[in-house]
Amino acid sequence: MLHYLARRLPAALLTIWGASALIFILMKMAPGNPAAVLAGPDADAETLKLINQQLGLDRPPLVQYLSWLKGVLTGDLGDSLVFHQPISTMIGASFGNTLQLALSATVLMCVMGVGLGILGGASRLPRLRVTLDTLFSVFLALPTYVTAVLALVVFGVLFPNILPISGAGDFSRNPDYALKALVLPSLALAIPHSAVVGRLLQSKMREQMKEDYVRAARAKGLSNKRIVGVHILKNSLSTAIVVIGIRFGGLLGGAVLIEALFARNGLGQLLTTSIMNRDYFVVQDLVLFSVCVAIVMQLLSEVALAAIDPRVRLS
Amino acid sequence: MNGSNTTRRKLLGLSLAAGVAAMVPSGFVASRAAAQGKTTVTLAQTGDPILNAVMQANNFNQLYERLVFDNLTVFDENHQPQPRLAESWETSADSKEITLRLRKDAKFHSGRALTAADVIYSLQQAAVPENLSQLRSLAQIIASAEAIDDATVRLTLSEPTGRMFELFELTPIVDKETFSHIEGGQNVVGTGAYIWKSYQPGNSIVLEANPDHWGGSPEVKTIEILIIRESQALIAALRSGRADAIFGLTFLDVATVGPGFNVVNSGGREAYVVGLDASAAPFNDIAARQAVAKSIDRERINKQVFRGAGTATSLWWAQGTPGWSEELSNYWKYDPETAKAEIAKLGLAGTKLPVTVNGADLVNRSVFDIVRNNLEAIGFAVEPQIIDGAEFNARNSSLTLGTCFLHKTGFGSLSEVACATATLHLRPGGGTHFDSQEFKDLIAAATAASGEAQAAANTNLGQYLVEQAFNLPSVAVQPPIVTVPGLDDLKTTNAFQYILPSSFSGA
Repeated sequence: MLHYLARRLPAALLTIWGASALIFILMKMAPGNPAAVLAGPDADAETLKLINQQLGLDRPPLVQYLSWLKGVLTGDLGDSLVFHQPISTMIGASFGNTLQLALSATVLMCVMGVGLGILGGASRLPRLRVTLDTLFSVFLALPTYVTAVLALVVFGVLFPNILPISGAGDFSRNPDYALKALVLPSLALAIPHSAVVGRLLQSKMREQMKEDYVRAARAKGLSNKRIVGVHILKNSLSTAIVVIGIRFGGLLGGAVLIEALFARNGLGQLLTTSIMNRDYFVVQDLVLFSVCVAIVMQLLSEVALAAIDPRVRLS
Repeated sequence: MNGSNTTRRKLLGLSLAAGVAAMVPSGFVASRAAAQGKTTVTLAQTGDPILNAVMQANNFNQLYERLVFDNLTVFDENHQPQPRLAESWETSADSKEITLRLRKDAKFHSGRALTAADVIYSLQQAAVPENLSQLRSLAQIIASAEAIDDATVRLTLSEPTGRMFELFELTPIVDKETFSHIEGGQNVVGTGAYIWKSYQPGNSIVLEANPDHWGGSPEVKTIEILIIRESQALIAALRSGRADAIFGLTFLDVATVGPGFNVVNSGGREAYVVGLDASAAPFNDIAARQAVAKSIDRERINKQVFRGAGTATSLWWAQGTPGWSEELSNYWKYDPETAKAEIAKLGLAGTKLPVTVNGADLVNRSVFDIVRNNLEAIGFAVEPQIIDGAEFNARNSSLTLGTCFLHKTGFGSLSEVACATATLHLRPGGGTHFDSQEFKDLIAAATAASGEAQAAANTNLGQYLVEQAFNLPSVAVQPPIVTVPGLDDLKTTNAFQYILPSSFSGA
């Protein structure tokens, strides 16, 4: 496995570097800059020029990029141009909330998606299958911004004071509130993703149902529960695991919309703020972080896949 | 200038100052929050504080700045300066020298006593371009500043002005030992009623009551300021009890908050304007500009965008400011038929008109819907250019917002001259590229005027600006603050909308 990981390393590093360069170019091409944000509404061009000099933004773009790259390679993520704080501190302060949300949403996604997928894939009742197909279609058609706004309306207006609709709690101080504050944003994220997992699992299980080994197992007199639970499920999980891994990686990079709507201070919020502020180096560091997480999650998914399915080899 | 040969007149003596001080500073008026025994109050705003711009009038600094910093004076509702750190003052007859006597019991949060040197340093910082004060040119009038003793400052001005209290109103008194490191949020040190405890960008600011404040320690011990960017999330925070007061909603959003909450009308007005580039066709022709002035349906904007909470007006400043008149405020009346005929006569019917709007300013985006309709009704073919906040700011600074743009200014709540000189899109040679000797002369006259002459000078300036029609106000309105019951007596400054510590003090 180590050999496999070592072989993937160059491609991963190239992807990380490519992403950082691309985002730097895109940010530089965007009109406006951090000086304009810092200078406020009535600063004249002369003042803007002075602030640009203070921030070091009057240097050639390549010099700015290489300076940032050198910092990253030596473990220094640099300081935010707008907030004048170490970027590592800012990311560290926001990561906890994002991790909580990503974990809880992924757990819900797995429970709902795998549960419904097994139900749909194993059931021989046409009505149940139709019902589940309809449910998957509805869940897939509900983007997170719709489920989030619905949750805000239901629990903010119609049935207030049942579940928090704003903010994040601190698990070390008030675990009860922190857990409650996770319910609605996690559900909003998990619903469409669980439909993807569920539908993939359902289709795969239906395919597997027709395989010879299933017929052989039935002929040997194995119980349906054992056939489905051990043999079919194990052979059907591969695609779902990859999807769950990718989704979890994506969520770790920050759930931009959900964090904004539920006012949770996470990496997604930090990213949008930094883009709006043209805080170049924070955006680059966050993109770098997201790409790294995505690559690691992809590798872990493949390792998990190999562990579950003996047909998959990492060599 | 020597004090012995100068005729001095006391604007406010110590005895008077002690009386009026009770109207403003903390520690004297019981706020409802304090009376209800609240020890923590949570406020929420839509953006991060801009710490490098504490010298600037900036919406995102309005919640914490007057709580952490004290100013020398603050204007009351009659635009008269009232004492804060300056207990009393004297102005020379020629308005070229001001002597300030400071409180002796004011201390910075570091424990160091406030001195005249700190006041001089703060006023000098307002003159530094990088500190972004819109009143920089006013601060630069101070030719010399002398600390007569630790509690007395004498300012000598290079030219006479009656506007120095505007600078005192806007400029926080900062700690000269730490101010240069304020940007990171670790050294935000003032003499105010609250101590800056912590700041996490994008999340919150935490302030704690200053036990040694000269006005007494506030009853509300902790103030948390949340940063919540989305309006729906802001409303959710209020409804769920996470926030006690929210700032930065549009009036349309306020209408969706629901019953049981209060809308506080306090603080300075903001004027929403349509800017026209007077240096290029078609608006280098005053007739075209005046036709646009007649085409804007101000009442409809007020009704639809501001739910009737504002005032349809042709002026940037509100009733009550010296020189305001109803005639000028109602100068431009909605007359689309006349405007259309004038545009046709000028041969401008069908002309493509790019209109630049700040996409981050949700109010102006709503105003634009009506302005676009108005402009198209008189014959222009409007081309919307809705750009994001950073680009809008950059183009505003480089004076390239274009032929027509939507903007706003809050400087009318400070003074007419401040509005005409500090607002980049209104001042001579600013964003509208309008400039004339007459404009500059009128500003100079209004700057130098004091007493009764001030109103006349301001009227002349206002008349000229309205007639030239390069910067057209539509509606002036106080930004809404929505609070939970019990916090509806939130107190703000009259110029702009800075929260005052008296909002959180007990009797």
